[in-house]
Amino acid sequence: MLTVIEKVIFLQNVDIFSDVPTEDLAYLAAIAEEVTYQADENIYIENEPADALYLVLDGSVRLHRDGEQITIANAKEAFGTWALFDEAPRVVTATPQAETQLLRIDRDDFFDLLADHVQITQGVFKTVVSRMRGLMQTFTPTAPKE
Amino acid sequence: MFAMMQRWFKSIIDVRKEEVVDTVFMVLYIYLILVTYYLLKPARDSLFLSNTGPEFLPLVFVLIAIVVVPVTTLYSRMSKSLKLNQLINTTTIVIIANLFILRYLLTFQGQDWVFYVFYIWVSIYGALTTSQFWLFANAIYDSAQAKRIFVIFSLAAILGAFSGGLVTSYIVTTFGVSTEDLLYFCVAFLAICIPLVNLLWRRNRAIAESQPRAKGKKKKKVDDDSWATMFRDIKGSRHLMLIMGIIAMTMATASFVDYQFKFVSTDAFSTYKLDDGVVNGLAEAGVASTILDKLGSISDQQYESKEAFSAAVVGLLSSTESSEHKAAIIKAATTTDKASLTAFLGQFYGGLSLLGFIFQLLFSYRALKIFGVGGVILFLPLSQIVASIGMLIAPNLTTAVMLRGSDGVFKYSIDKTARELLFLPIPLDVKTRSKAFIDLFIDRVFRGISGLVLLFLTLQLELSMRQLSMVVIGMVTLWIVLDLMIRKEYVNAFRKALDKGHIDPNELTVRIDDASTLQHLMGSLGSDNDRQVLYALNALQDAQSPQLSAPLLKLTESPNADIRARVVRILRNQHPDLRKSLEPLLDDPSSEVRKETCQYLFEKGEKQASFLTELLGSDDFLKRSAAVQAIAEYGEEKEKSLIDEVAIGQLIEMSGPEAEDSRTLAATSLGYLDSSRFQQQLSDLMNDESDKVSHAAIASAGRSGDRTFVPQLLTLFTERRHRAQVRPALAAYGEGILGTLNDYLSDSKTAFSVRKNIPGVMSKIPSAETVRLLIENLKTAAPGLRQAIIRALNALRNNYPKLEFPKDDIAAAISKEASSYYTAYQIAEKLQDGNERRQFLQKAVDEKIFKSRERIFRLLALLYAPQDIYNAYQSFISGDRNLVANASEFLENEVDRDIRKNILPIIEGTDIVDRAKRLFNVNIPSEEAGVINLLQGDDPWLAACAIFENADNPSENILAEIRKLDNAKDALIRETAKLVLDHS
Repeated sequence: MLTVIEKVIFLQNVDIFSDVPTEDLAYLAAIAEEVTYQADENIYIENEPADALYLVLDGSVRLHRDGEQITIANAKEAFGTWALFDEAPRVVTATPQAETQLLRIDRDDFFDLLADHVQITQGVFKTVVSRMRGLMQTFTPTAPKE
Repeated sequence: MFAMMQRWFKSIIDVRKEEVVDTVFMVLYIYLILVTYYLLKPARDSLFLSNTGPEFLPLVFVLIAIVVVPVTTLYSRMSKSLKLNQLINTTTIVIIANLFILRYLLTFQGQDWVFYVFYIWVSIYGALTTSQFWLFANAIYDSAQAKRIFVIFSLAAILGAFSGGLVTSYIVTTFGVSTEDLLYFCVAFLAICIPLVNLLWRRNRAIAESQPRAKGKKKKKVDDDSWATMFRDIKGSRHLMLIMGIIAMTMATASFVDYQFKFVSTDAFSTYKLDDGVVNGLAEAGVASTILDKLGSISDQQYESKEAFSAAVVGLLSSTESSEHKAAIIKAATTTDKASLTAFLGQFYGGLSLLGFIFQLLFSYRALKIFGVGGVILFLPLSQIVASIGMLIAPNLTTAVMLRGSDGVFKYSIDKTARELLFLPIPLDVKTRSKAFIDLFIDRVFRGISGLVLLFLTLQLELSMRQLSMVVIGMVTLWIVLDLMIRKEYVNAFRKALDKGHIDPNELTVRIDDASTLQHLMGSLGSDNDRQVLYALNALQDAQSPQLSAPLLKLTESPNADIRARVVRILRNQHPDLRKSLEPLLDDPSSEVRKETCQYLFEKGEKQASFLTELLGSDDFLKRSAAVQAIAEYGEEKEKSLIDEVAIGQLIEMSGPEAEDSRTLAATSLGYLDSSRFQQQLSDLMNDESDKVSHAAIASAGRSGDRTFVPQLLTLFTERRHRAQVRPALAAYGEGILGTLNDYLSDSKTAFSVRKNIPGVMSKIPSAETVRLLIENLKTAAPGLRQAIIRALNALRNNYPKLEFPKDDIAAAISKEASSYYTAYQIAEKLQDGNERRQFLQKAVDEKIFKSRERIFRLLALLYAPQDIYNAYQSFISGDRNLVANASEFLENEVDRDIRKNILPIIEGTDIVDRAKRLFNVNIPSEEAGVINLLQGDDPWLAACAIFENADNPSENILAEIRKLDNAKDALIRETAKLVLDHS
């Protein structure tokens, strides 16, 4: 069982939380639940409603669609991130390659938390906006920065 | 000892490592200019005075003022088409060419006009080259650098002026060079300046060109008139107008003071006696013997002052005789000890330069740091006014020395530095066009004008020294007023720079009291965009017009329930009776639409109680709920009495698919009814499993004003899902529950989640008592709670600007926060790089520093204009060099000294460790001490991070501290300590 601070250490590696202050990540850690999946036991299946983000603590998870592997999520890597932001169904299936320990953050809990912790919201916004700017600049090199 | 000396030296001269090269070059540049000027100045004076005589000096002053006009015009035109480095290079080359021409002209020794030309040229040269230097310095240094470094330039300038004379004498005596040939040395010195400027430009080009420029349309006329542009620049800038006024008053006062000093010092070394020789001389000069006989009674009497002798002469002669012969008699009777006078003046000017140098070296930088530009510009006029009062009381050599001495010491040292700093907020292009005009034209013209005025006052009106002192006091008073005005303007200029892009939300409000706006809003009602329609409805909510009914009625068919409900609400204010058209809306799926419709039908049906009774008894839930809601929200007592326990009970107990809506309706309605009748029902509904129901009940509890619900509401803060509803519900109670809120806030046994949410509630209750209680709690709160309290105070300050915040308490809070900042900063400095846990701790400490700084700015926003402080903070964290400098300058001028001294290192980002030790006795000698400080501190998060970081092989001292935390009150600390202790 991880302590709050150990969970924070993992959470700070999640891209979307990279601008959230560590102290506020502790609140996020409090709603992050440790779950264990066995090999080949699907964590979620393609087209299922998305309801949580996962972070690999130990083990690895294969993300695949129609039998084709998309990527592998290893320790300290997150997957299903965008489930926190929209209700679109899962686009891939997530399956552990061996017994795998994960941190799970439920979307409803996450939104409850955001309502109460403006610093987390700010940090998440900052990262999202930064990604959007990056995308804009990738596709339109002359796009203004502001 | 070395550290002390280093600190002392730094307090005088503060140049950063990366600034050293540029500063050395700039020092050399200004030094060479001043040495050159002081090579030329003695040559100019001696050639002019020995060949034409001092009586022609006023004339040459006026000529300078006239010649300055075309020179300034030409310079200004050049400044528009050339870059700054090109402008300086061109000017320097022209000056060098002029020096060759002048050297050639000086061979015509018999021609007086040559000396006039030389005198005028040197005077303009001095003003132009120094003005150019300061313009260049303004371009390559930002305001924060300027405040540190300009002092050094003034120092170099004084040194240049001081050593210029020495260099002259060395050159003349060592090399046997003639006065005229000194011009060749000037050519050599100026030639060195050209590569210096180019080198500096290359190194700082990006900075100089990134300086903000004045906004405005590009000029259509390429050959725009330079004077018109300059006047437009100056007229358009209150700041420049004030600088111009200050320089004018400085120069005018300087002329008067110089005259007073020279008059008094000459008088002090003169005696006045009508001895036989003088009398015979006067007789030979044509003074009648009758007049000389009248003066017989004072012959052979020696007078020590011109004033006393003059009074004696006037007393013996008739007014006609006096006006005709007094000046000649006084001149003849005067004996001046020229050797003593020259020695005195030599000592005086030497001492003055030395004092100016020492003052600039030791005090200028510190004075600027302590008093800011706004305070420092008052040094000279205040010293002048004090000395002038002295002259008014006792016009003697001592007071004259004080008067001229204070002028000499301050004017070319700190006052010069401050005057140049005043130009900083001016956009570079405007500065380039107008600075030379102000430095050249205003300076010289006002010297000329004041010379003429002085001649009129002394020769025509024959004012005494005391009367002249009164004139000077008047002039200096005006000068001080201008200084005070520019002090405000200077800060405003930075404030405006920080405020760019800010939009006042008030500017977005709409007035609907004119026909065109109404038409426009009605047009918006037909929009496909629901947001636009809602905005128009919002603006029209109080409007009354027969034209409105038709478009509004059409909107009752809108698929948007919010639009339908608002439409029915607005229609209640309109005259036509639309009951038949609206009645079907009683079956609308939206409860809001049904409620509004019910109220509409009730009001338009002349408020028949039977209408409501019929609906309340209806089997149709939709109709019954509409009546309950309408009565609850809009009904008067007699209508409210129609709803009893049975009706509410039925709503609560209802089962089936409408059960949740029914309980929600009950919960909402209870907020409008007499709560004492329904306390238990409302309390139960607050704990309902459905958020929709419980949230409606929470809102009703607040609306009821029944204080028995307060403890339950506070307890609901522990449940995250209710917090957003609990805050406004508690705030609705108003001041009456401040005491209870304070009890919970200050009680450390209360759950932190409850305490943390209380300041937010209090921020919605604007009163002096709220401010007092929050500030009281701020004194003892831990950082997490402190942040919430300060945010609440900020909200109060923003939303209720009339509330007063106690300065002393806020200053103490800033001081405490600054101490916390310095401690965290020192800890961060001591933490060496290490593994992931160490990096994590470093990150947490850095975040604490950032939060602490944010809290300091938030606290500042309680005492000063919040928007300005917010803009300064945003500039400060932007990392943009110019913005940071502007923010720093703004704060240094705006914030009171007692607060500023504690936060200055944070603003400037320098000397933090050193100042922390001196101001707060904060000293973290080692990494271990830093970690122990975190473990013992009041920040549970940092303590937990520090414990976690020491999971592997903690030192004995740290382990002992962690053991103490095994039973800490904070669960996070306990958990982490247990983890480490189990591990170790």
